Amino acid sequence: MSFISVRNLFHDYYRHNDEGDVVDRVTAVDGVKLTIEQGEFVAILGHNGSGKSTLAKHLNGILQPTRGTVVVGGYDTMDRNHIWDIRRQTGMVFQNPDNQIVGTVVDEDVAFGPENLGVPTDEIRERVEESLGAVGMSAFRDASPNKLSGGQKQRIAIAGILAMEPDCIIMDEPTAMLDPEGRREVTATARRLNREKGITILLITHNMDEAIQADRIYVMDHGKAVMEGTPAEIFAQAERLEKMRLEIPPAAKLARELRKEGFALSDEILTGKELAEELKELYAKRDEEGNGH
Amino acid sequence: MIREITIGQYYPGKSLLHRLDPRTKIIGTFVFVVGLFLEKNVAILALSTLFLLLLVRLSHIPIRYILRGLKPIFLLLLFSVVFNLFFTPGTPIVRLGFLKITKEGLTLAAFLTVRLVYLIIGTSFFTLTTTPTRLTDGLENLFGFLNRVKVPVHEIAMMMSIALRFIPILVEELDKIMKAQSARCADFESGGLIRKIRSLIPILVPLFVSAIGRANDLAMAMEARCYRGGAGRTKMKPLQYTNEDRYAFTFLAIYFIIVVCAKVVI
Amino acid sequence: MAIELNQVNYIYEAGGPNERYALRDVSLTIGKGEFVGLVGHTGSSKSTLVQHFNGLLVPTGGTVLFDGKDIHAEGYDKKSLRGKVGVTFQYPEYQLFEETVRKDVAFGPKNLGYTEQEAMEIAGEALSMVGIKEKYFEKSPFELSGGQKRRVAIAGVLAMKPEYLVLDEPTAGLDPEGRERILERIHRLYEEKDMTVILVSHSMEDMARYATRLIVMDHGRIALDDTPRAVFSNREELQKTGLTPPAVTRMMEEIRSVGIPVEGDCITIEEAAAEIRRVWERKRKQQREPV
Repeated sequence: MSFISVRNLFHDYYRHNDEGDVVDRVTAVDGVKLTIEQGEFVAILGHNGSGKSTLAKHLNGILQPTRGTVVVGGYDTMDRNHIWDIRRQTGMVFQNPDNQIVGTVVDEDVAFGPENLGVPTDEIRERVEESLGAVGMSAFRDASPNKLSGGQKQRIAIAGILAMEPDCIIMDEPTAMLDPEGRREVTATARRLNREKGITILLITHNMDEAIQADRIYVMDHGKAVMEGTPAEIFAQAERLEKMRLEIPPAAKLARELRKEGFALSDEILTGKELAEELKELYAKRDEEGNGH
Repeated sequence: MIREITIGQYYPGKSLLHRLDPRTKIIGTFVFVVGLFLEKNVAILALSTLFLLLLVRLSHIPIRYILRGLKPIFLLLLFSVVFNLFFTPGTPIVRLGFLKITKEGLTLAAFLTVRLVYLIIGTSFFTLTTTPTRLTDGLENLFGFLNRVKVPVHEIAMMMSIALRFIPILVEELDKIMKAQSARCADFESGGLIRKIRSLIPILVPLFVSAIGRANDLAMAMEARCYRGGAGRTKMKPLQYTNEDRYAFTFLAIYFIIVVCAKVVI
Repeated sequence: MAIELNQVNYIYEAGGPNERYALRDVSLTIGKGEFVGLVGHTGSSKSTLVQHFNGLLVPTGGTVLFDGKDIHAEGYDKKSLRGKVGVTFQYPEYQLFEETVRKDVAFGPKNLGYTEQEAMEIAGEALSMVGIKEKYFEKSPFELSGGQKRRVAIAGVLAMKPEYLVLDEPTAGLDPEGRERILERIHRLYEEKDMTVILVSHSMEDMARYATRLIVMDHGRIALDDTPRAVFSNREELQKTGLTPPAVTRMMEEIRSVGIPVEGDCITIEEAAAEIRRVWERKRKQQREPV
């Protein structure tokens, strides 16, 4: 059984007027089917308003389905008796680094989760130490979060989730408000936690260079999961992505330009290195042809 | 200017004052304030001064930093000094036209200034050396008995601690909004009172909108981290009196006795 | 006609315990008709610099001149300066406060002394400049999407009809579509309305595409100031400031490193494709010619 399984999920938002009557209905999630296995690193790619954040909020029971089912770690999110089990198992990191830090000192913030779970004092201390170490922030244990950079704040937020010892971390556009350096810090941390600790990671993003790092990508558009596959499979369909106004990696873009000119390049190129390798082969072939004449 | 508010801010450190149990510090602050306002008495002021000097030494906080906390109340201070100086009846010393400064007014103004300054400094030591979490833990614990009369002590304490965490963020934001509106040629200075108040709308509306947005986000983040009120919570740093606290209490008791003696004797 | 900074220094909390130099001896002239890109890693004081252009910050040392006049001189009309040098900050949607989109945009022109009616008219024009359709004019700004709010906030500055438009990371936090839209609009203002643009950004790709001049800040100093192409090919100096050239430039280096003799100064995908084609073409010719 998959760790997360979403079946036929619909989510409607209602807009009310001053009298409280419904004036508008927006279907943010429109029949999504999705499964995530334990230990995977999955990205959900989509532009703003594609429903990806609404979907994410279903995965730890912040929102409940209008229709369909969401099962996380064996519990249905509609089952309110297990809502805290779900939230302990699947932590969530949000977009704005400031708005999710509760404590005024780094270690006190990291302790907030385990304190809520009623973990004994000594064990909280251990968990806080370990979590701060895992995100490389031990040196900032006694610092005020206000003095940290955006990337560091997000790593503290991740540590706060880690201290609850979850199986899965959902990251809802954790890098949208960060500078390039902060972005690299956060994605590198996510990858490391996935590789070294086997934590399932679900990264929601509109950045293709982050999605590329995942094992598998879902592409969301207009509330639907329209594509699913490995990064190479997804970015091979450049036209389709561009129609959805999503970016493709620069190497893939250049490769496509060259393909139009008749270069025999594969459509699975994602990085500069892969492009250089294929071009090298073509260049060498020209040599052989040349010698043949 | 608004960035310089130090009241309620924590100054990181590992001094004796930082280490003391927050409850000890709450009680200490209380003893100090009661002493200060016990009587207008030079001896008591001298004792309070000694007390504060001791705190400065023990806290390892630069005195300049502490004094900076007085800036925001400077106007208030000036106002009350002037008011007392000129409007206290008694024996006149100096006459300036229809205004006169009296001996009584001078004493009153001097006492008031010193007391207000000491009050701010004394209480800010508590917040400067106590992280908001410990501060609220202390209050929650000391006032826990109010739970029995249905006062939501934990919730109030949590609200306070969150407020303290977000003050610097909102202050920074206020600064940013003011700059953005200034860039659109907003004018906060000229005009009468009504116009001045009206000119605050472009600042206050965005600030409230943002604060509400942040509150929403934070509530969601807290829920995602399994927060469900005070019941069943444990603490990473539970409150515990140590020997240092015992010494502090002994010291406070002695201090209080001396102050009371000073009142009675002098 | 220019913004001119002479030996500008700026110190945060001067004399205090946390005294910190934000700008050191910055001298700089930005003339009309330029599209200036301003880059530098976080903490390099780009935002501090930008706030000197319209007099929001007063330099600790040095002078700022606008059209030859010291903007901090006694009696200088700062209001009209702020109308001429329009500045938008990071996440400018936080400045929205009015009941309707159009009223909000009219705030600037009203402060500049236009009548209510004139201001509303100008607001309408500014909104169409950033591609906000008329059906949104009477809506509450808080009902719009993130990208739309951003564009309304920019219109709020455009409505003052500035000669210089300074944008501090106008695309931060937006998705590729929102980013693209804003940059295209800004570029159009530069091309069609002859507006001088100063754009602060982290994206080297955007700089390569739009800027005519690129200024690199590092620890409060100007480290490099040249055309984007020249800056990006000065790899060594650029690296010292902790920045990397656009992905395409790096890609071309990779291609050269496997033995294909491409030139390394390409800064856009189109240029790179053309350069690779050129190398292939040359080789074909060589092979045809007898050795």
